[in-house]
Amino acid sequence: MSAKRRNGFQMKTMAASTTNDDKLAHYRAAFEHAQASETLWRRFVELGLPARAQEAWHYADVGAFSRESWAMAAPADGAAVRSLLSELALDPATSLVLANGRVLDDKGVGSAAAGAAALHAHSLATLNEALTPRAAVITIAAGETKTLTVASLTLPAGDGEMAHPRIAIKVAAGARADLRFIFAGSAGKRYWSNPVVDITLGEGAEARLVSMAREGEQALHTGVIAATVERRARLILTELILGGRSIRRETLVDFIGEDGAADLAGAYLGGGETRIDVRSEVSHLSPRCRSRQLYRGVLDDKAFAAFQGRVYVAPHAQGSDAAQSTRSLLLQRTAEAAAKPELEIHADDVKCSHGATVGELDPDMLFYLEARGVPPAEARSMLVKAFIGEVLETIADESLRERNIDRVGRWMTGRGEGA
Amino acid sequence: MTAANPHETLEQIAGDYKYGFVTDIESELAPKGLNEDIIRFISDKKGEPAWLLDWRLKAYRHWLKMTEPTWAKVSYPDIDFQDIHYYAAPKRGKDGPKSLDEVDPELLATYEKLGIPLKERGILAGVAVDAVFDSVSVATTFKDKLKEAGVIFSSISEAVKEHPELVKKYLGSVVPYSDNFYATLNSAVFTDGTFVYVPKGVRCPMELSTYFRINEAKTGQFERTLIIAEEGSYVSYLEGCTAPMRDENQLHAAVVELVALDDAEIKYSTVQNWYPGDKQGRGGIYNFVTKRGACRGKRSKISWTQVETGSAITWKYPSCILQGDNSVGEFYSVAVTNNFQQADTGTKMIHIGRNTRSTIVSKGISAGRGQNTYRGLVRMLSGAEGARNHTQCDSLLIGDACGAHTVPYIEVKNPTAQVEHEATTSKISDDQLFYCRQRGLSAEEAVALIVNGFCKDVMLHLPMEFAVEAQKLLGVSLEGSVG
Repeated sequence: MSAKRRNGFQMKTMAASTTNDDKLAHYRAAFEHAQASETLWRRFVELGLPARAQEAWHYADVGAFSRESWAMAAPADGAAVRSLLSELALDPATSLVLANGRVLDDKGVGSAAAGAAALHAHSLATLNEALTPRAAVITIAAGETKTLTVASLTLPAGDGEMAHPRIAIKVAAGARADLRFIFAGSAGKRYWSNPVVDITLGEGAEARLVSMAREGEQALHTGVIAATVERRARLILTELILGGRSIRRETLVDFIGEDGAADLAGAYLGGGETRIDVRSEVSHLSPRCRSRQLYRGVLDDKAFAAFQGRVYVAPHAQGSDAAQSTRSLLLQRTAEAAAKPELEIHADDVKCSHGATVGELDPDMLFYLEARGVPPAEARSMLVKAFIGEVLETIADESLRERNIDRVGRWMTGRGEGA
Repeated sequence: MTAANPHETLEQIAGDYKYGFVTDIESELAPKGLNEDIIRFISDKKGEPAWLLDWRLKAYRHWLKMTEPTWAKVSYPDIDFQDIHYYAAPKRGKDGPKSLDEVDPELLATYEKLGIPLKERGILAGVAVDAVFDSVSVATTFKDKLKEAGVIFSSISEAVKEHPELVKKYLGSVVPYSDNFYATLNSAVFTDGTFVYVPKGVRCPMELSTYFRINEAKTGQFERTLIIAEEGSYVSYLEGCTAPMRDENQLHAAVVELVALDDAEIKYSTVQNWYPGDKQGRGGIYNFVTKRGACRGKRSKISWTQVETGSAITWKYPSCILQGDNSVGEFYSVAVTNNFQQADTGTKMIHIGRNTRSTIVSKGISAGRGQNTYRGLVRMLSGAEGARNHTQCDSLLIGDACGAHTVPYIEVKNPTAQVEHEATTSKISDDQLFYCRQRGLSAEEAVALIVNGFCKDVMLHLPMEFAVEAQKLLGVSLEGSVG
């Protein structure tokens, strides 16, 4: 069923790719250098470079892939890695660290072939698969529980370098995973990080993921988390987007067994000229699965953010229950937001809903707080913390949750006065 | 269905479609195909001035460079644009009929069957009809009464002759000739349509109505409607369609342009019940329509209400461009897809002026193997200070082989603008059905009742004449979807 659904998408992208030939040339060189298979190249060409005409990339910063020329980043400098790890307060001994797409110390590496079906229809995930043949592999055996922090760092030697980190996670039946991902990199350099997290949840497994994107202020980031959820498994994901020049985060969930569940939450803060592009695609391919989506964004200065969320219910996926909520706050006249909450439903016994709003901070609420002696800046900060707080509450770890609430407060310092 | 003899099958099909009959009137046909000569032929037939022919040719040349849009969630076999007659006119005398007596009786009989309130019935119903039969208007009633009020209500070809300055000023000002594939095609080959002009401060004394009929086999219909409401005026326009039975698909690419100036209001209501194809998905109308209204004036208002039950393929997005400060746009829609029907419909609300407001209520009903998509855009531009939008999209699924899809686009460039969007999808619950059945309703009556309840928010906005017909239509369209 899913193959059929994705075919339509591929067909439409083919026309776009033919005009992209010259733009693909430098990718061809990278494929050859990585000795990637011809099959992957053909798939990449067929899918084509992301273009605005492709619905999934409608709001993306597509020019970056075709206009700029990217070279594979060489292995990162050890001292730079250590310095960034300490800045992030991470212990390299207990964390899994990838630098420029390579797993440090060769801890747990394996094949890069895509597990999630959704990744086969994704152009940049295909690029990732081709250019990084060795993935970081995390396996959690049946009945086990594992807590781990994964850091993906991009530390290029110069501008115009790209890295394609790949992390494959297998959570066996009944196992529990508690994973934290941090995506970060060089402050001043123009680099492109294109990480793929490919996670499979076995029957009755549970995975709690917290992903934080804190890339450098010139960075381009296009990350995908693809989850394949088997029977009665549950995925709980919290996405935080806190830094970078142009960031796209995608979550693709395929329910391939009955009674699965996914709770997706995401928060994004954009200032300066940041461009944020959040996309989710939840595919109810089996009966009686439940999905919840909660996304909140705050935009200041000339930031732009788009949220595209798609819920797909396959024929016969009866009893599907999907709810989605997306809200954006604009703090400045120059900030912009777009939302495209999409439903595609082919079964009748379903409960699906979505809600979307875009607006400014409620003047009545601000007035209420100010009337009670709260200074305007603090009132705004309180309201934004509460707004983002809905998402942060989904983080089970209390100290991590508190740290991020403080981070929102710090981000708000001096913001939102011009609206 | 078993392979019965073809006549029997045809009868069965015809039996299902109440308005499926063909009136046999000699038509004057242009040869099949599309080229500059055909466009000159159409223009010449209609005795058009040079500027309009130039405009058509400009559109045609632009159209040659365009490709058919593929983004809509509909699929159909390729259309051969050279296999269509672009002009068909019922034969008539030199100067056209002066009164109803001169109208071909067979034509009048057609209207009788359709229940169009023409002649005495027209007077009783209080409705003026600019009946479009194929491509040329054959009769218009109530002209005198409207004339008294200063309202111009005529076919667009007549308006080109009698009010060229108005047509020239407004034609293509809302939907430019280069707008989209089908609108551009329409600009090149449109044959007729309706023109309405309501002068300053006039409240149009009656609901204006046009019935569209597609009659001659293989004639695409390319209607062009232009409605202009001057300062402080009001007009309500009803558009309703039924089409004869046809085995081959027929293309319909209409363009509707509305212009509302300061404090003017235009209410545009549609009941669309064209042939939807048979139960196996054969035949049916392709309905690719561009409808757009410009709220140019301050405090102007444009309201679209549509009940879409017919057509094999519907591709239609009645839109409002809210330019004037405090202007209002509304879109109320019911779309039903049964059997193999596909509808991709919705609206666009473009907020440009300050304090502009828009409301979208869309109710989609899918049954059988129908595919129903709501696709809408709400865009708040940076000058849309204090603008508001509320969108409610509900889908109802009947049966497990149909689909209901929602694709809203929300784009906001002004922080003081507020946009809210809600969507739900559900099915008719067994409890609701049981409750109705228990009280003696048949399964079909129960569905009709529940569906009418589901659509109430939209039906309320229909003019009374339409509301009754539309409610019946909903029931008829969903026949055979349960039980």
